[in-house]
Amino acid sequence: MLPQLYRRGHTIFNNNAETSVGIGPGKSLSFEIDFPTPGWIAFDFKTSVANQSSGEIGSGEFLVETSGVLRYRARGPYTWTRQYIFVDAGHQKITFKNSPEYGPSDQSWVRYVVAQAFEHLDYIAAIGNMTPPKPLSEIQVFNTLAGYNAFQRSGPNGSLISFDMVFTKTEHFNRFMAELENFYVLKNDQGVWGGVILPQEVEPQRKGPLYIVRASLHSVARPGVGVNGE
Amino acid sequence: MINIPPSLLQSITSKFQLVANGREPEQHVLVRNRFFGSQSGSAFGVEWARLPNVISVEIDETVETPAKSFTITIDNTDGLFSPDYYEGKWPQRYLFRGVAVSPWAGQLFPNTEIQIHLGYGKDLVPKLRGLIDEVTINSQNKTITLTGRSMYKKVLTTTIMPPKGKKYFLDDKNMNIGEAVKKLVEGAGVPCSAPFVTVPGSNPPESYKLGVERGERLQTFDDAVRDIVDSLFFTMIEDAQGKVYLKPIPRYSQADEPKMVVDDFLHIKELEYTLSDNDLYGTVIIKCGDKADVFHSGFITNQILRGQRREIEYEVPWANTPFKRKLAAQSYFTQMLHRWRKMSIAIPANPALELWDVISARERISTATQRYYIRAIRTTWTPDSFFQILELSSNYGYKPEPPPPPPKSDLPPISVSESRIVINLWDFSVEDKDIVNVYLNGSKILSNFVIKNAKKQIVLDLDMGPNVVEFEGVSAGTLRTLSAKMEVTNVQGKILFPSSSLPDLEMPRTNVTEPSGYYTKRPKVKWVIYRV
Repeated sequence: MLPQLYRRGHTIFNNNAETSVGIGPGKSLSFEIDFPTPGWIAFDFKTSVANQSSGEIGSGEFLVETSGVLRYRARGPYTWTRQYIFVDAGHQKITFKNSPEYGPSDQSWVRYVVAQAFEHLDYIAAIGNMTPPKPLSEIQVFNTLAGYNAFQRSGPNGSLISFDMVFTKTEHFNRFMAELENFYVLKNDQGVWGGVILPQEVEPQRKGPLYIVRASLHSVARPGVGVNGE
Repeated sequence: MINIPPSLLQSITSKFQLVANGREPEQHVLVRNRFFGSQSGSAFGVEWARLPNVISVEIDETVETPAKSFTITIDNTDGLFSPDYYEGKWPQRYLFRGVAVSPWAGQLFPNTEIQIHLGYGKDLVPKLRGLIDEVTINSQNKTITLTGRSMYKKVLTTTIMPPKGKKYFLDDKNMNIGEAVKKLVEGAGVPCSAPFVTVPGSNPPESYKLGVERGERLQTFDDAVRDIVDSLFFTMIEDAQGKVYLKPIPRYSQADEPKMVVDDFLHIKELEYTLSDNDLYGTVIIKCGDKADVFHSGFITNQILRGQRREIEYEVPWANTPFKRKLAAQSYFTQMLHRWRKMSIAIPANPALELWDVISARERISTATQRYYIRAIRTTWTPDSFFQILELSSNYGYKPEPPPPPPKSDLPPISVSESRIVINLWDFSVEDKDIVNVYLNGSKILSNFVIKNAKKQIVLDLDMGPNVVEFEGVSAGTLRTLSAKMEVTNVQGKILFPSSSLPDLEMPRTNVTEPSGYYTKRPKVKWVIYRV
């Protein structure tokens, strides 16, 4: 397929009310939304999960699924926290759920549930020279004094995709650059990737009549998975 | 080391601490809503909430103080976590994330309560409950750094106000020293549990009394409590829930079972071994008012200081007997010996380790092969690594104190499980006016009792461990020796030891000059009864 780039666009769904997902384990709340293009779902969530009697964090998790795929989990208590989940185009059912480990009086809430369909940047003449997603997560290797390496990881997941964009008209180049600092969804052969293009990494060039812009998308999706998987 | 599930132990000891097998390092920092229960707290909504965007967590624990300290750095893009933030203070177009609502406004503040939990994968261990000291907002890095201390901070910083009309917070000199510690720590609002402290080796157990009035205005509670604990065989430890307790200073030996074994092949990333004579004194002078005693440590003076003279003096107001001064000196010597061989190692973090745990370390260059106990732990969590630096100390140079010898018993000792028993005592032949006194653990419980044919019930309330029943002969009577039979029953009358299984009480007719049989020098028979 030809790679396509989308930029944050208009709101297609809005539910600002503070809504309880429910008290106790297994309770859930769903919204069904049709996405004409890829986009994201943003929401605030809040959870009240008591510590275990031993003082450990309660093991109850607040889960978010899109069309049956687990996309986000948060263990223990949270105050209002904004979360963004990139989704592919099509019919999406977003489900907020209390995990089976929730205690009988543990509760979660959501508010400001917003879905935005991203705008297709059809004025980009071509996207090419694209690298497959490169993992951003790091594993630290450390040497023991006299033995083998050991490995430790605690950083975030994510992936990096670099590509060239070609603009044939100055007007299109300007339109793209004017709102460069924004959120994007990239569709390519490997999947659908949501993330950010960092302005400092963008390298625009002029070649004859063309504008060629080298950019990198820092995606929050894992390589090999994209926004359609867990 | 606290009890942990096998899955956490596997995560700690695995060399693959990766997300792939669910053993990646994990942190949870929880913050308590400052306004919980009041109307203005509604933006936060819940009592506790996880602090998001944590960049690093560092916890320092040491046996020198119960207060653990922590440093937490979080990402503060858009300033949403700044304590003075409110929606609309700056135009929304500046916001990177485009969200202006922040429930965190006003929350990260000095004395906000926090909890830190660290672990691997799903297995998190509560590490600390504490209060924020400082909130530092760094604008160029867009971060907030929170520093603080565990709940003992209140004891360190709260100043004493004695009850109205009194000069001292504690004015009962006869108060047990354990109770005094508890009252002082709880006086600052921190829960504490402390045992009833007895003078070591005393039999019957003697309450270790405070001996002085404690706690003046303008002192902190820590000023009043710290030197009490330092001069005893105790150390104050704060647990992960913020409760302070008194723990006896462990007496180690190389035979102690290690809680964890670390070696240069699997775990140790860095190691430094130091032998030092800093702050070591061969002679300790313990003063109590106008009395003082001098104590020497041959090991410190001869083996470490090579004969050099070093003296230090401590004022210990509650050491009012030579024996108590000796105990205080032993405590100070022990603390010195805990310091002189030190090792510092860096290992992948084991959040289950606690201060004073014994660990066994093996490393080729330092030739460390011994068992060491943990004096300090620095735990650091960042997105790149989860490590600990352990400050260890060797127990080399100690002689563990032998357990006190059991009290001497003239009759075969017996063991009972009851807290209250009855000894029946009677004369099995002619009543000839044999007279005894009976003592239990040094207190007279029967005075000038004339032994008759009818059984006399002597009720004994026993302490745990050995109890000494002492029979003192007053008169051997008109005929031959002082003699009686005994049996032991419980309070319901059930016979525990029949007279056939116990020897008779017999005292010879010596030191008797009168026909009435009165002793000029009273014989004594001790009988040890163990309550188990």
